[in-house]
Amino acid sequence: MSQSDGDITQLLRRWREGDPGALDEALPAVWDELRRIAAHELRAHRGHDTLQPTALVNDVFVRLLGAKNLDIGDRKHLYTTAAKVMRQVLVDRARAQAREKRGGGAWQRVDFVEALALPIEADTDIPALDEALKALAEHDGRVAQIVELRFFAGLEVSEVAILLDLDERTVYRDWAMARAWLRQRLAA
Amino acid sequence: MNANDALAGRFARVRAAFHDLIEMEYSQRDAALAELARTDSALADEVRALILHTDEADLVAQQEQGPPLQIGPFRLLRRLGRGGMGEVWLAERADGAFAQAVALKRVRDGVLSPDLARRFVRERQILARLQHPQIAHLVDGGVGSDGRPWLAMEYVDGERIDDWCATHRLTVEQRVRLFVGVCDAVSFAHRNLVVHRDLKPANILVDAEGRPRLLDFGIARLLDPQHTDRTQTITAMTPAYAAPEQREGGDITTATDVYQLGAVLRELVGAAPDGASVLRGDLARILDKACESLPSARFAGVAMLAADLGDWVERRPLRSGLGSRRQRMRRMAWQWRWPLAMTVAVLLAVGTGVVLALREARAKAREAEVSRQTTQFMVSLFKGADPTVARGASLSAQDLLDQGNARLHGSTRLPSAVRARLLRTVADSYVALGHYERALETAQEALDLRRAEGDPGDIADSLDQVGNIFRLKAEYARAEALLREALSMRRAALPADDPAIIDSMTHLAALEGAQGDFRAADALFIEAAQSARRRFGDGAVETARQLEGYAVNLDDMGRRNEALTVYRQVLDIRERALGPDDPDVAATLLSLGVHLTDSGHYDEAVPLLERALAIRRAVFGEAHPLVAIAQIGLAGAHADKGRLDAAEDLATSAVESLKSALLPQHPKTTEALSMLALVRTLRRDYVGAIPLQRSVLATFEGTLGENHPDALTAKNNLAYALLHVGRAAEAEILLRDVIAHKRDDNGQASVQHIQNLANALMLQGKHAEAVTWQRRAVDVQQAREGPSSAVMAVALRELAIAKEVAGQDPEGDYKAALAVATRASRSHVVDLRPWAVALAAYLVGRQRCDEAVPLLQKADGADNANLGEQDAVAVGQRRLLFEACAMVGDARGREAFARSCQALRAMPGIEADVYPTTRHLLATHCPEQTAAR
Repeated sequence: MSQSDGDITQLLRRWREGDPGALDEALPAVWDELRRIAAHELRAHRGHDTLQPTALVNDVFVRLLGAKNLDIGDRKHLYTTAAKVMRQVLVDRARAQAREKRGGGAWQRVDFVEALALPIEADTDIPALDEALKALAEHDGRVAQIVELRFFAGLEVSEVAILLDLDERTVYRDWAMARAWLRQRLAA
Repeated sequence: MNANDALAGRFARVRAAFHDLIEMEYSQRDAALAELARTDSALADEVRALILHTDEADLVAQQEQGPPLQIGPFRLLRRLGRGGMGEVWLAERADGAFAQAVALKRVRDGVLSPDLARRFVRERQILARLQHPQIAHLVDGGVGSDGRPWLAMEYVDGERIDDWCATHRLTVEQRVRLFVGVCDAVSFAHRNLVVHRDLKPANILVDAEGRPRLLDFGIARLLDPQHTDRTQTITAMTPAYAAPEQREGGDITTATDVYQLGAVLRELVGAAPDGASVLRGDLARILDKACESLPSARFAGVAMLAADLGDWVERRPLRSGLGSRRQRMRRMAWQWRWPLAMTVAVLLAVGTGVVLALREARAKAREAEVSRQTTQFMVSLFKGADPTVARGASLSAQDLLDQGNARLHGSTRLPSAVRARLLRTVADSYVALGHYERALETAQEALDLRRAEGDPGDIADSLDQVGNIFRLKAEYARAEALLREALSMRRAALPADDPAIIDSMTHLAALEGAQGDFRAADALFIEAAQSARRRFGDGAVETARQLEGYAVNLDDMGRRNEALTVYRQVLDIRERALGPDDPDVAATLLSLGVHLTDSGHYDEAVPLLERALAIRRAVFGEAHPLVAIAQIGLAGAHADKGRLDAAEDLATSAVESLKSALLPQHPKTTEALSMLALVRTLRRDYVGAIPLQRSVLATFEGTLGENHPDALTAKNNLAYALLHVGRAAEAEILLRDVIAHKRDDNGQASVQHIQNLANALMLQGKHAEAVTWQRRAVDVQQAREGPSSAVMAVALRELAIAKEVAGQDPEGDYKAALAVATRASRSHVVDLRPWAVALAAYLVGRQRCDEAVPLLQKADGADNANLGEQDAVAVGQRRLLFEACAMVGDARGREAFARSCQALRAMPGIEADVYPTTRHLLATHCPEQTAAR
């Protein structure tokens, strides 16, 4: 699939003009773009600095959308959707890798999750995490959303708090609790 | 309120409590949890678990500023990972003094107090001395300018062990082999007083040479901010592999590593392609022991765990004495020694799985005679028992024993020497009743009393008794220690050739035999027999007793001709000394008869067995257990001969009398039931066999353990019967289990079990897999006896059938099978009909009647030979196929064909036993069943 910048920009415009489906359509291409940038950055700055995913997402959108600032409503939608897409991308990749692994193909762990410095531990079983998150969402959608934004959009706790209009300390506690809950569940 | 709301409401309460508690000091949390538990203990438990799993670092802002480019003498190159405790960087010496890549670890937030920092430095020196090729050693470490400690470890370029095993598709055995290397490294560290305490797949890499390398040894402790040997934080462990004491804040010891090794290995084995099946049996026992929740119940050290794993891989008996492999080896040894003498019944049966078991059940009758002591007690216990009141006799006998035992137990008035002697007798009676647990308790009490008294003769006597009970319970390691102690005490105290020494040698010999070391047993039996000769003379009954044990062992070793000679010698001595109608003569006749049956000499065997039965009836009365045991032996001979009515009558009678005379779970009762079930299976009375077989299986599993060879055999037999009532899927599960565990023994499941499984698969339409297993059966048989045994002829024929059903060309295999069978028939009793008819069936299916008919005609001649009821299937098929070819459309031909159809269909479960063409004819060409049915 090769979608030109123009197409993506077009889709994002439609999204800003009130077509929510357009963002979903655009995001896979956006993440391809993100990955390309991440890989490039990684080569250029090997071992020096980690990429800030928030900044990166912003950069990409700014570049594609030509808008300097997104308002908070847009941003909330953007990040939550982006996190969902990222989650899906990672789950698909993990499954594909598992298939390769079973087929005996070589498998490299280093990828753009690392490059993007998402706070997911290296040996996490992503599909299992995905399942656990679904279960968590049934208990408490808000807590699950915090995890999603942290894990898959790489947002800091403070950013999550602003985005969701929550007290920062509450987000910390929810985050710590959700992680404990997930650890317990994934260890079982 | 719907379910989802309830879920959310519950979670909201947990969340609120967590939010409150997490902000408290550690010290306040317990009190708050206790308070919470008063109103809702489940809630308190949930919150406690969550707090235990909480990483406190999640509660504070992460320091996101980039790390310094250099730490200590190392330049950071790239981040390798980030985990709960901190980050790991690939780094190299900045001063270029020497090229060395290291993995540099930094704690995320821990800032050490000066005191702890000093301890950190001291301990890392200990770690730095931990030099082992398979342990990534500590290169350097220190506290950075920011107060955060760092460690530089040797950088290992490798793959996580679980990933490596997956990419290399290692089998369970290869995984265990690899893991023994891991254990060795951990063991080395333990000898240097370093505990890992965070062993997990991520910390075990496999390098380019395939060597396992351990990371982070001792680091968990070093980086633990609490820096204690009790785990109060959860940061330094990985919940999935954490030992209970780590979760509960207990002491961390080398046993913690044993647990974690067990947990990791369990995961590795479970993920192996052949993993699911092996995670039972001895390997499971090893893993269970490693992962016992009580640290003291685990292996005493990693070295012991490694030793057992090594034994498992090499298929040696486990040094720890876990498991029952030694016993199984013995079983396999004697399952192996007969294939050449395979009897007609084996070769006639298309599905062969049940006959081997028949042999086992029959051999029990012989085994029963080995335990002379038990026999004697049975005699005394039931002597003069009135047959009319025999029902419930065991209960009253046991009541008496229990009462007597209780009285002895509490009695202080009796002198302890007398009490010990009485206890000893009670223990023997319990043995006779099959109550080994109670026998053991009682015998041990006697032993304790006698040890206190200090008389060496009495002590040896009790040691001998307790040792024998352990032998019966298949706890061989313990039995051996006791029996050897008894023997050496007796040797020290008594003159050479004393009867007590001879007894000791015999018991030890029986133990060696039970463990499968027939050579050692042989030497001891010979020694015992020679002693007896010197002491009592050549023609003495005492000598005959030793010789009988010797003969049984010769049988076990497969030295059948020698065994036969000795049995005859024993019989001769006893007949001369005791007269023709003595019970000991009967015992010998029974052993001899079973031996002859196994060699296929029924005509010789049956009169001997009948005589044994008659003697016992006359001496003990109809209802005595020893009569029943003789009936089992005779039933086995009749069954092999195809006289199934007679066999069933005898087996039924044996079951009845054992049930009323002994406890239901007595091994002899179960063995009789097993024989009855087998006879019913041979009669194609599957509906009657299945419940019996199930109860046999349940009893064996309960009394002997799930993976005991007898239990597995019962499982095979049950599966075989299920196959014939259209429950192939159920049979498949059972057979896979049997094969998996039999494979624990010697790397090869028995051919019959594999063939049964293949048949189960075929009947479910899993044709390709059936071919694979049949091929494996051929390979196993090839490895066992080479290319030209009678069993090989069966295996090739079964392979051909599977191939035909799977749509592959089977002709070559059918022909090869017939050729092998023909060769085998030159030296053994082999009826060639099943091979000829199998090939003919295939030819008929290919419309090649001109080739098939001569084969069928030749087989016709054999129909008249009296080969028992088993061959009804072969006869019926031959007729059906012949008539299918002969039928040219006239009414008479159609009628004859229809009659053959009906004859075959009248046999229950016939679909499981016929050749593919026959099955096809039955399904499509036979007229619908009419009122005749």
